[in-house]
Amino acid sequence: MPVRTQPENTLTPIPVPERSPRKYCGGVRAEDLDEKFPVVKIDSNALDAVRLLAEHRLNGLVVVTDTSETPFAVLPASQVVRFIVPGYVQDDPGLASVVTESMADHAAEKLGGKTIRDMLPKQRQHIPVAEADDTIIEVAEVMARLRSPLVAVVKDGKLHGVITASRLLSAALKEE
Amino acid sequence: MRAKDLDEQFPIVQIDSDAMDAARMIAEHGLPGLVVADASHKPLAVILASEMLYFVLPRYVQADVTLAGVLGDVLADHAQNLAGKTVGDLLPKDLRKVPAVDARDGVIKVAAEMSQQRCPLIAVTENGFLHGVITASRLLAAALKS
Repeated sequence: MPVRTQPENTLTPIPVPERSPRKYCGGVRAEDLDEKFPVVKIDSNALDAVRLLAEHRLNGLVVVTDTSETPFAVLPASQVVRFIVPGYVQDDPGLASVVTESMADHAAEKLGGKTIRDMLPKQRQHIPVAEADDTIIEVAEVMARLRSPLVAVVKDGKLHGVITASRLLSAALKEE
Repeated sequence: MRAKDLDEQFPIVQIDSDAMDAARMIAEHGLPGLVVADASHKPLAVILASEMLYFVLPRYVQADVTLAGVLGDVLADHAQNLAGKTVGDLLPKDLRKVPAVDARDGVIKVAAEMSQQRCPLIAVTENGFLHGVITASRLLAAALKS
């Protein structure tokens, strides 16, 4: 007979004072709060990422690799915007005002041949990741420190879900 | 296509609005952040949802991040940190360059400004007064269209 593992929350009881009227966040861990969220593969086409962000009005995406189920990076929508700006404008923002070319053509042309990997910073940065059993205070701390619109939640080395900043704020205010 | 063809109605807060109300607005509407304006509707700053979270953190975590894992504490209790504060109290003393573009600016200018300031939303002004807001995802949608 297979050994049944205890559910995680029975292993680490959290003392919540009986008299506390606020119960909502007492034992809430990252995994209780996270949601399903679109994930993109690092070698998929950059235009796919743009489409996902645009269609679902997302503030960012979680990027994974083929070899690992752990999130590799978080790609904020604001970072993707940089790639629809022509190079000469990035060099000299003053030129932005005089550009007349169609942006749509440019975006498709500029992103068409690129992969998501090309849009990530060359140097790997701290990625906003939380463990499934992290408290939401820990999640909030990571999010605030990295100024990230979302945090990826990992359980047993695999992506479990995503928590957005507004969702976390909503949890913090819920029983207020 | 100009900035004013793209911008949307978006909740804005005034600098002397209640900080708790602002946080609630972000939470309820699932916003990436808010544009902060003065009484005459001139944009002053953008406050992001993640920046707002910083003020909800317990003070001991703000002082020492390794304490974030302390069990038994309740984030909601610390949301009280916002009580009695105004939105202006949450903004840095020296305001960064306001993430704003003119209504007549082209989309490339909007994108350049947004990526330079690393800000997922940008205020659109007409004669210096707030006209609307453009989010990064909205801008990407416009770039893909046609």
